[in-house]
Amino acid sequence: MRSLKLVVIPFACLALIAAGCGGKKEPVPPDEPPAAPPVDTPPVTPPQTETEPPRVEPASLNLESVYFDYDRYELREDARATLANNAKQLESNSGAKVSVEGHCDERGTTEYNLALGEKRAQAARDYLVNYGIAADRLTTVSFGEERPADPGQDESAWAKNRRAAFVVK
Amino acid sequence: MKTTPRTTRLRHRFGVLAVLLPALALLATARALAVIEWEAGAEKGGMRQPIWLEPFTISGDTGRLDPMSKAGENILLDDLLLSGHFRVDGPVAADLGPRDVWVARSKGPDLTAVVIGRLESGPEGVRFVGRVLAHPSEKLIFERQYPVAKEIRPVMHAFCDDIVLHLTGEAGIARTRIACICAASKSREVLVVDYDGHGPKLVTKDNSANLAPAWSPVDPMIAYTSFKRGEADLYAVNPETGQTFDVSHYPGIDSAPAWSPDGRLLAVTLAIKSNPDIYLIRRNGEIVERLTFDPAIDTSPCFSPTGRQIAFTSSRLGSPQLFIMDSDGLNVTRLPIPHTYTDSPAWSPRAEGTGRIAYAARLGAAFDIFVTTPDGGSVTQLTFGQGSNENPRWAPDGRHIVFSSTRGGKRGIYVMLADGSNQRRLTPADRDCFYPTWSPRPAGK
Repeated sequence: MRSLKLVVIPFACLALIAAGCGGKKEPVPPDEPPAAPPVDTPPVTPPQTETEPPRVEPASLNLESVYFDYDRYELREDARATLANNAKQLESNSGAKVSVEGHCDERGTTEYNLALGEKRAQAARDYLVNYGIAADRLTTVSFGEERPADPGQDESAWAKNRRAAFVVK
Repeated sequence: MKTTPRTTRLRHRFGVLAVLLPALALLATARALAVIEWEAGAEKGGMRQPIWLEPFTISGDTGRLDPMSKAGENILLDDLLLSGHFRVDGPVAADLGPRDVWVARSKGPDLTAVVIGRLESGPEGVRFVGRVLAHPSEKLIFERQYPVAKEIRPVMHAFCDDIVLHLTGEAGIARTRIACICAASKSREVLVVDYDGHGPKLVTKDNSANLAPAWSPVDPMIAYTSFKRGEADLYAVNPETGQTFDVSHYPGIDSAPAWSPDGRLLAVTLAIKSNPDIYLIRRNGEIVERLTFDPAIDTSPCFSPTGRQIAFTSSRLGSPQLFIMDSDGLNVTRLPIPHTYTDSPAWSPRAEGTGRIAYAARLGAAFDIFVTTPDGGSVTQLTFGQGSNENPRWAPDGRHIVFSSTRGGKRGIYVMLADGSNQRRLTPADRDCFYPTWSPRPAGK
């Protein structure tokens, strides 16, 4: 079955000639990566400093999470109702600043879920802004699949994890 | 699939031969490079040169050299098998019992080469002399002396790379490393291991969730996503020194870094305009260009080996699917493959031929890994439902793929040949490791 042809190609002649037939030079690997350019040392960016937020009693707000269908970031009817209720609370607590957190269930790749969490947080934030909440009171952050509300691995756990949550800052 | 590059290389070598012929005539004892052409053996995992590994001999300090010699034989055997180029015969292979080796105890007629090693200690320290002879002529193919500083392991890796180079004409990967994410108690840090799984070392101490490491193709620098300042931003770490660098902190996620082939630019996912899109940035985070503008999710970019194209994942048709665009964002086309949920494209660094793209496709509840040509014309499945198999990344030789799999319970890092054979776990079974990336070969060696 296995038939071979042995092709012997003398290669070392140049190296031997160059080194007076005594040296041993390794051939240069054909596809070595190029010489490394000097590393740009990126400047250290200082962490973003937040202005001191006004004190808010978290107990005065009960902002409920909204939930999404698998692999979707469009707001469902139940999510809109929850968001309307959250918006009313934010209207009557005009000092409160809120971080909108986007989360995913564990299915899908980590990178995709980071982007999906971003879309979910944005969708919830956009609803609140359209409702009339000042945009500068709302920030978004995506945690992808990193912070599940329920560590389970079934649909009931996943449904709880596909969410936008609201954290008063 | 493999004969095309081999044929190309042979043609190239014959070109060199024509130039050298007059010089050859002058040489009484030319040292020869054997290049083997294969016709049969195209079965999965086939097309491997049968070579013979002799037990090493020692000279000098027996007490010190004997265990070093035994360890060295095993490391070299492992390296030769991992290379995917060889079937290894001989007493060393036979003594290790049933593995992916041919355990012939006598030299068969199909052998192409015999590998010989000798450890010597003297006033100048320990050295290893490696030789490869053609079979059956016993002509010397190459010989090299390696100083042994402390451990025999790096010496065996260097010897294996020399054997691969002389017997196949290709550069080996025995001195490469793999980085991945490993879950610690409450954090996820970047871990680096040798390409064979030896010597795991945590290189970040961020105490946060780190994700998506990408090893620069030109220098010791690993870009990665970290939540260490509360949201997903991009950083880089030098795995030699542990020094970390800030790369980018734009509003919204900064994630999915992929290096350009020259290591000067990164394609990344940013959500500056509130939508996850792909941008080109410099190493210092400065934006060069926004590449995608679709209102859907665009993420997970990777460069073609020429740097002229980028493959990426987009949800613009509903579910995540693979697309290719020019590296200035123009000419976006869907990769016409039959799967409807695909992610994690990885373009082989081998530029020859049409090139290949590895990716993960969701089939039912889990992912499996496939390889396709960039026109989608040829699709090959490499894993078959043993757990969920994700995040394929290529070795610098374009012959190996590293990926993560849940087949052992927790996620672990596995390597395989690009035809799906030789699948092997690298990280310990009790560690949760995922998101691998392969280092380039060491520079200047």
